[in-house]
Amino acid sequence: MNHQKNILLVDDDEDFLTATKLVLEKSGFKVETCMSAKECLAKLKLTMPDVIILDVMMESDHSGFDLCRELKRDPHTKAIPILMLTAVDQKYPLNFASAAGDESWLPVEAFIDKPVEAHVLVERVKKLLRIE
Amino acid sequence: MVMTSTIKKTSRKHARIVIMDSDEEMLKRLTKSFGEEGYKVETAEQTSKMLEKIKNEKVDILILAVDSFDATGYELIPIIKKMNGLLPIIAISADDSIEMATKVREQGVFFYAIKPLDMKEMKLVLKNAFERRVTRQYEPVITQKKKVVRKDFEDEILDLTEASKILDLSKQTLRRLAKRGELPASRIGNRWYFIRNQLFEWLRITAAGNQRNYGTLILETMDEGVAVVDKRLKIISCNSAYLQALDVPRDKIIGEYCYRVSHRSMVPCEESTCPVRQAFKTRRPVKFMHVNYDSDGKEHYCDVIALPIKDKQGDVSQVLEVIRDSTEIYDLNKHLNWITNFFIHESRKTLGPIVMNISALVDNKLSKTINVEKRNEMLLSSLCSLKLLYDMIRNYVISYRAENRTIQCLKKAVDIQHAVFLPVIDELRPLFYRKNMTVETQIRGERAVYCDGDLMKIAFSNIFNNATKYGADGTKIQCLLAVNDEAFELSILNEGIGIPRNKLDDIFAQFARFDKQGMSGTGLGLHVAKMIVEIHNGTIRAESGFLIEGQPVTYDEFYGNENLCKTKEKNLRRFARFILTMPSGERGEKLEV
Repeated sequence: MNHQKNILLVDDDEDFLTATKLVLEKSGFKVETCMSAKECLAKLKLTMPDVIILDVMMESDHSGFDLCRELKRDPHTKAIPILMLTAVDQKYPLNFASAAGDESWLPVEAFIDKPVEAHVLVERVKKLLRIE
Repeated sequence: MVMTSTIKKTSRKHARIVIMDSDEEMLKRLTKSFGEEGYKVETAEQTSKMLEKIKNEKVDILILAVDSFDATGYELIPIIKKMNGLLPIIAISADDSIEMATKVREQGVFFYAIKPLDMKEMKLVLKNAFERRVTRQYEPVITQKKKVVRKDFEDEILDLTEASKILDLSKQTLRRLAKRGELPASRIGNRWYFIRNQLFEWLRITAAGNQRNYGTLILETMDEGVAVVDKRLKIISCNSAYLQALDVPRDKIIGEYCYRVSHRSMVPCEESTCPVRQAFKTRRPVKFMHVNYDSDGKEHYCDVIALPIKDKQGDVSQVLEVIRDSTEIYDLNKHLNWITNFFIHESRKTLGPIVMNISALVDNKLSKTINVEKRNEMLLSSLCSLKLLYDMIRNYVISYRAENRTIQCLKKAVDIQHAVFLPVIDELRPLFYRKNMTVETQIRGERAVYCDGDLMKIAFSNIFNNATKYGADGTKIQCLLAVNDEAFELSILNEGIGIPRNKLDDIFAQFARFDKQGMSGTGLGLHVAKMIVEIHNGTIRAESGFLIEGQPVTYDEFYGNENLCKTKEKNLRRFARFILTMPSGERGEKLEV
């Protein structure tokens, strides 16, 4: 790895943040965390991560969706790949996986279900960053 | 019996019928039709003329259009009855409302028919009315030949249960028919009474070919809303449940297009989505789910079933439309779906850190980079999450059982301190440890409490869990357990985000959760604790406010105090306290541990 890649991890579950941060750090990434959409937007004014890992539901059911749409609209953050995480049942009411990539609806680069195993998440992040 | 029929045959030719109706066409038609049957028919265009005839001449039957000149024709009935109490009155009307039927029936007419008249039915009614008239006139002769008992039997007054048995109709249907005046009945107070021979007479008329009424009767026995729709999509008949389901009066329905009534739409539905049109087209039963709206605009989810009614040639002449309102089931399903999804989401979310931690610990590459201290932290975090998951499942089950009243509460004498309070604190130690919290306990009094120990453990555990979850890191949880002969009280106080003042009353509601960040759980814990306490005839309440010099001051105390409320809220730490109170033993018994 030429230089350490930065990841911004956004989730409202503190335990999940702690566990995931550790796994990503031990896998060679530099990780910053935040617990709300508002905090995330504030942080993005100061740093420019290489990838954002974002939970669908935080303060409200749609805050994750709204945040990723906002990020994709802003020319400053538009290019940052987003990996979306969710604990919503895959089958109901919406099939997120098939919608990932739909610019207007769910403009994210990748999508992963919760719970996710450490190596699966790491591989997915590496793939997004085109790291071998 | 031979004698009666002889009287009938000889007398019918002389029977005089007076018809009063403002509709000339109708008068002509009835005169012709009844004349052919051998009756002597006279018409009266004016009320005074009709009354004069009844007073001065021999009239056997009166056919009275109760809506002739105005809508209050039924008011004439008591006057006519005073003049001639034995005269059978057949009321006819174009007004098919229940109100009109009830008003007319209340006056006590022999029969009430709605226009357009079924002539077959009318002839039968006339025949019966005439027989009754003759029977009454010759009553002394006939009763002399019969035993008195027989007469008593025929005039026997029946209540709803007896009538329902005789007619083989449900009480509900019978009551409905009586209310609508479609069956001879009298109402005294809240009860309906029937006369046996009148009931049989009605049954005879109904069964003897009055297909329209018979059909209505069958429709009435159905719980679902049912309507008969013709090829033009107009409703030609319906039952009361249909009116009720769509929340419209009968007179607004008959002759109206079905889509105007059921969908409040001015245009027919698409053929492909309309069960009635499909049934006409395919000549087979069709079922669809429709969303209908009542007059308040509330959605009703209805299964609409269209059953084709075929004529002798096999053509579908009408369609029977059955509307089954499944809103309740639909809503229940929606609620269950919501709960299930909520539960799935919460459990997957809680599993998130567990799977992440454990998978990292078993990963060859990753595990080598994790030191012992970190490993223990990860295991502790996983254990806490697992406890959370376990509590969630337990609370879900208890809440479900309590709602279904299948919860078992086995009360016995329990050492509340050693069998409930201390073990719960022990079980939750990993949670306290993780948040670097300490538990300060104060115990006053020792006495057994009459309760279900297992349920109490769940209630205590949920309150402690809540205190840990919403308490700030490194703070102290203060608990007080006081037991005496009357009651025991448990108070648990934590320092942290507190409870918003306007949410204090709602905190025990199912799925209530006013968390900020980083909290998970199903919002069931306090709800379940409250249910358990209430099963034990106890109460639980929440308090919140600010900590001033380490002492809890409730919102009410704070804002009620001039000096205190000048303090900036932002600089103050908040607290939340739960106080549980329960009787110690049943009927003051002293219980052995």
